[in-house]
Amino acid sequence: MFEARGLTKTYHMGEVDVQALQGVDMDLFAGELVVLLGASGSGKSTLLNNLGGLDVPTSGTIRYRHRDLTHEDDDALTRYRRECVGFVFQFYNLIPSLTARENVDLITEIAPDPMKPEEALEMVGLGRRMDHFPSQLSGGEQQRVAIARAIAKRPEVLLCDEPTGALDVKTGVSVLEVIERVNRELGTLTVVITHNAAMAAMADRVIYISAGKITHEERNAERAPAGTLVW
Amino acid sequence: MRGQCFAVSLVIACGVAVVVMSQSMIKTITGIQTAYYEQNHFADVFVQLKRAPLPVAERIALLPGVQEVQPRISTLARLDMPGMVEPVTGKFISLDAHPSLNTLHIRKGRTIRRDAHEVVVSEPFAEAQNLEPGDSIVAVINGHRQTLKIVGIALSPEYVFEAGPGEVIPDHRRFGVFWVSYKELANAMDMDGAFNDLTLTLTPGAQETDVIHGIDHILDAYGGLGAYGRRHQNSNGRLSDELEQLTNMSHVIPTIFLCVSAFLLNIVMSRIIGIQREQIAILKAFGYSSLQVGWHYIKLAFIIVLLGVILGMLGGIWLGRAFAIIYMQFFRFPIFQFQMDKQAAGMAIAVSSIAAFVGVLSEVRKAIKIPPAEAMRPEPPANFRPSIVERLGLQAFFSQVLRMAMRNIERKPLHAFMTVMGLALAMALMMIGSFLKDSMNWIEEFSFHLSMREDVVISFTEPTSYRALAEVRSLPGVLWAEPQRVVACRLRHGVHSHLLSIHGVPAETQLEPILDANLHLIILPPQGVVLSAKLAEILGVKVGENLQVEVLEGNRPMREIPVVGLVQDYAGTNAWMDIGAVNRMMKEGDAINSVFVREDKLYENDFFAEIKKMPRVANVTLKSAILEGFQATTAKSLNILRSIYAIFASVIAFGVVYNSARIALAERGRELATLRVVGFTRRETSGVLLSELALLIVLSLPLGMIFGNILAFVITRAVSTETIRLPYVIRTFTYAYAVGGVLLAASLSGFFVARQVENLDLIGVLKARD
Repeated sequence: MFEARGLTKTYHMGEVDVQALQGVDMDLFAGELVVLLGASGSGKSTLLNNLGGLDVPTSGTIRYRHRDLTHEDDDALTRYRRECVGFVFQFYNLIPSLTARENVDLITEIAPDPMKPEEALEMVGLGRRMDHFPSQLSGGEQQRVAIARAIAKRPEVLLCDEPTGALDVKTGVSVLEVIERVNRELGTLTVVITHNAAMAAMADRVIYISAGKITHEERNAERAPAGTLVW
Repeated sequence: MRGQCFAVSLVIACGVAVVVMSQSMIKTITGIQTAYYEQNHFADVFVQLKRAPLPVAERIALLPGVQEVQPRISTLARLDMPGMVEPVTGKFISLDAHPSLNTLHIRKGRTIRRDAHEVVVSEPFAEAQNLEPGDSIVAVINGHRQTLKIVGIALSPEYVFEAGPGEVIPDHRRFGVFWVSYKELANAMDMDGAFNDLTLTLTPGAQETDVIHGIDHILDAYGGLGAYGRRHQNSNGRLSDELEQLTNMSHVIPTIFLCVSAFLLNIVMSRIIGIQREQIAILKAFGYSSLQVGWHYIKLAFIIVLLGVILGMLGGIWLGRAFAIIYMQFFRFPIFQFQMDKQAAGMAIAVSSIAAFVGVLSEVRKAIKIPPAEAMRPEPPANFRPSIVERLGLQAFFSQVLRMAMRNIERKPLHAFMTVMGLALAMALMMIGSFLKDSMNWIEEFSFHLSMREDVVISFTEPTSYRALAEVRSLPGVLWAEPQRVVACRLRHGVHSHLLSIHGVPAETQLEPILDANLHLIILPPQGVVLSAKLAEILGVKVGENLQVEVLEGNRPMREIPVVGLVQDYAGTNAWMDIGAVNRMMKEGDAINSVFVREDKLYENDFFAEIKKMPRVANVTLKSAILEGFQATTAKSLNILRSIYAIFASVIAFGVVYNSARIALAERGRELATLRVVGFTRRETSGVLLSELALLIVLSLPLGMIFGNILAFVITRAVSTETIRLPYVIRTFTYAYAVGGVLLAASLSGFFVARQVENLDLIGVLKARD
């Protein structure tokens, strides 16, 4: 589904150039659950931003199906994010003035073939708390609303940036269970970036990234259920 | 934050500029007036009379409190100006060889040296008629045709405002002042050894009213028309009225501007600091004391205020000077020296600074109370609940985005209230400019079209019989003519008294209809007097009460006359009676001394040519000339003022909307960036941000209209002088204009902020904050 070749990304920080990506080659396939594992500053977020159409590489190409994302303008990238990509952030990024249902609804209104907000919220186990505002929900619940919001448009790709980073273990595990379920039931290509090695077990494939390069990758013979993970 | 700070500076600049402009203009004109009067020995008391021998003036000089007297001869005379179809009138005044009062300021040429055939002409007339020293003019003085050589062109402190008799607006082409030797005028008027005009100065501390009583007592026997002080001297009275009006206006409008800008400054500063919570925490974490943090933001406020004050002062000085120069066209002074009102500027600076610093300190105090660690943590999601319209079950009528906006507004009602107040005040200020124009338009409509329906007023030198009316009616092009008998009187009621002329007109006059507040015609009863409401206020008299009328001409009868009606007019103070009643009061039979004429423009040249041949005609007033003068002076300066208010109000509206939008952008940046990340287009994202503002703008519009009405009402109360009263008239256009102005300012600032949405840091949103 994705084909990245020779990706580099250089940030100019004052007088210093920071090379966040230094020649990344990577393929991602429909329906798989990939964990991108790397330490803080390894370049994994930069890679995710490039895959999600939030940023463009300094050099190299990213192909998404038949599209060359590297040469698309802002409008085309906005359309790409709107139609194809679901995002889950570390800090949930919900709209505080909207209820859980409305947060999801806001996205389904602009998507071409969405599921009902209620359906998406049922799927993440929040069928009973749909009319609560973010401030009335726990961190785990907020993250589950964020996942519902991301999947309601039936995206082909779900990009999760440290989805459990702000949560305790128990809640984190329950959020991972939801991500696992979405991947299984909807067949969405799911990329989870994390520095937490424990999550590697739940992936089909684990890609290790360090200093802006992919060091190696592993394929799990069998995915461990998210509920069994501990850290 | 640069744009935001600049917007705040502009708001301050507007407040300061309006204050500096209006106060400096007043200070400048007052300063020039005082200096001019002092240098040229402007008299304190004035009186006109029929005729008295010169020794009478010496008796007046002996009255306690009198410092110096100047007996003179003055008269109106017709001028024969080549090329002028309309009659031209000159006020001729005798000039001593070495006058000690009301000395002329010679602008060109010299003063008169010889007793015969020399004349000094007033500058406005000379300019309007292109006259230079060396030219000659022909005047018909008391029936004697005389050719006079212009030796000088001058300005006089007595004629700073140089309008013809009975005219509220100067028409320099048709009226001028002329100074000739006493001997010249005495010969022409048959007044050798006599005078009919006297001015005097008072000793320091003298009581003006006592001196006036003394003069009137002496001159009663000589046809005295009642002495009056500077306040009622035509030129000075008009100037004082204008200054009073400016002063009253300057108490209202600039104060409002300053308060609004201070208010906005306060809100904006506190909100700017509000979104700096994290930076304050970082500074504190680095070990800066609360005092140092506070001082840092005070310095920021100081820079913003300083920039605003500098811009405001420069703008205010420039505008104040420009306005004072416009006034100089209206009021003629030989000198011009701009004076900035430092006190007003200081006050404006102090108010702005205090408003800014209070805004900063209250917010900084809040920010430094929070422990640094807590302040640096991202704020937890704010508490929201369904808005009132949703609680009422009306959510179906509003889009998701509007519902978000309403919930945001309800969550921070104080912020929303402040923004709405700021916008409403800016709109009210926009309304004021346009309201002034509405008001002036109504004065024009009422004074020049509804109640003044004649084209020409012909005044005679002496009261005359109705034969004169018949004569005028027979002139070419006269469609209709009505008689008038104007009588100089002193009106008294209790302790109040007022000098003015009672206008005797036909009971059902068609050319000078007397209209009540509802524009219904008042038919003058055979008894009683109808007064301008303002005159009734000055005299403290009500309808049904009696007024003591002391006639100052003829047999000088004294009568008690009931007030039978009041007229809500807007210019000057007037009293009307049925012409028959005036004639009966004067015991003079059917006498008239002026005629209102409606004429056919086709025959105008013939009509004026005939009038010029009539020896008893003293003055001819043309409505068209007065109207033109009104439009060229009062209306013009008002239009400029309106534009200035409109610009400043727009800047304030822009400042409010821009800052509100920028602050909203800062407060909700994360939320908006998230929307962009999940696929909202720029337009959709801007829509979310601006819909809240749009809602606040909609809320502010009706409030702005209410404020505008209140301000307009306050201004009509403040501007109510003897010369002019502003009617409380607001046209639909004014509302549309103000709404349009606010919407335009809002759209402009919306556009700028929408551009900022493009620069939202999308990646920053995703970054972990640990």
